[in-house]
Amino acid sequence: MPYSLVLNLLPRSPIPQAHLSGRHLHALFLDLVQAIDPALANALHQQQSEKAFTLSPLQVGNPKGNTLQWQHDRSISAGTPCWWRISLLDETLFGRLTHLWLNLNTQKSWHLGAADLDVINILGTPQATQPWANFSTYAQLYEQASDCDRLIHLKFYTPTTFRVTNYDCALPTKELVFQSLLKRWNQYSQISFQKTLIEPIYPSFFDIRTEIAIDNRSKFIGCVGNITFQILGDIDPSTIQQINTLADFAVFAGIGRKTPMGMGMVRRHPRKS
Amino acid sequence: MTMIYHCTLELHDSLYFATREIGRLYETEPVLHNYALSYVLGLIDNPQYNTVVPEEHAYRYFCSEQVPKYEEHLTPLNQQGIYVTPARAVSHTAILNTWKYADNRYHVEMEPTSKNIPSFGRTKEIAPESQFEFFLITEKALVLQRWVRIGKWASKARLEAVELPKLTLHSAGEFAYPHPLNPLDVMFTNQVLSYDTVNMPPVSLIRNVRMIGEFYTVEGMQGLKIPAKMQYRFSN
Repeated sequence: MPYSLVLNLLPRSPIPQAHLSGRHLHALFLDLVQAIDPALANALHQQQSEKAFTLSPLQVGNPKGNTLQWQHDRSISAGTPCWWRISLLDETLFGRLTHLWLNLNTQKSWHLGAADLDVINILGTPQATQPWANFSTYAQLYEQASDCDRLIHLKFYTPTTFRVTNYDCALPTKELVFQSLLKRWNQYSQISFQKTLIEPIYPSFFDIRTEIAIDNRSKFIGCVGNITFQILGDIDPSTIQQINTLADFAVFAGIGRKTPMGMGMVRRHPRKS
Repeated sequence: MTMIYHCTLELHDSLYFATREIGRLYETEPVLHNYALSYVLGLIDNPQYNTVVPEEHAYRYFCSEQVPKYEEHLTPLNQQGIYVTPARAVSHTAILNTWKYADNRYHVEMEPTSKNIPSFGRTKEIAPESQFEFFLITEKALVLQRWVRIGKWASKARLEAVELPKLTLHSAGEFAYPHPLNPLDVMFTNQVLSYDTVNMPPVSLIRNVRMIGEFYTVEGMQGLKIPAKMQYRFSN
């Protein structure tokens, strides 16, 4: 069952700007897992591609709905409410981490770089004020997907980039976007979709730009913005349903490279926004 | 026969306990833990409810040690078939208070404190007139106090308990329960699918819970499904 969990955090001490990169948040997540299941943390760490989780960049303040931060140009002062999204793709991960979600207060406080963090609460169910918290089974995602909706509006919230041969490509073509989703879907759900699924999809609108996500070691150029894909041609409803399923799955899976480092956060919108 | 009381707690004083400590700010979350409520209702170590505990664990005003004895105190409630759910705020407001334990003499030699006791800070408290609700599940009718004392300041609160009419026990199925729950008390008998966690000691609570298990419905209260078979459980 894919989960999209939102952790509300409160730093006890200032978080230096240098410690807000995806790499530090990645380390924080592995620390959290390590605390209850060292073997699992090790396995997650060693997973080379299509990792079983994605992480958002650290967000300051209340969710504004339409934008996410992926860069911080200053440190975050102590006591500033922050939130952070963790999505889990593996059906069993949430259960294996249950002890973590329920015993946070008895553990030490968590560290992001030099700062101590308190976890206030963890949202795992859909909320009116927090659009990024959600859960659904793979079967539900499939059953609830529309078999007649031919328009797919995707919004790239954080820079999204793709690996093409040996280099990065920031242009989200239909093949790159949907293959990324299809690979993750086929790996983690028990319902397998054909590769030919992508054929009837065509981009019909885009309003995207490139943005740089800086990691300590390198710069990644990715795209953010809106893109609409349309399903064209005489297509049977089950194929349309499968494509819609992939689009709905994007909120959990993210798209493209470095999703465990905060890149590629994508959500489907009923209309362009 | 199982009975469920729907209890409402109205604060007549400001309520304070530290759900979390953020530097010098001590914050009260508007959620009442079911352990705390069990004590507040006077259910612990009380001959009236047949929950008297062995002498060495007696629940007294003056304790020989500051170590909680939840397991020793709450297990007799299980034996009597009494269970209290955590409470959620029906309506509440918060107030901030600044406090300082100072030495008022003009000349003070600075000495390091021998104990780790906070001497100044701010407390975020729940204001009077705030209301909480919870359920009390019991195997036999209980007579509850009308006035109770709660929180670090032993704040006064009015308790109202209304017995819910006609309960129906349903066999295991999937349902959602929006009120807070103690995960330890439900996880062994119900399969919990999804929830939000409220991080608070000694056991974090969960709410907006979707689970599979047996549940009660109440005549005239559409949509309310209360998990069955809850009892106090301890992780070790």
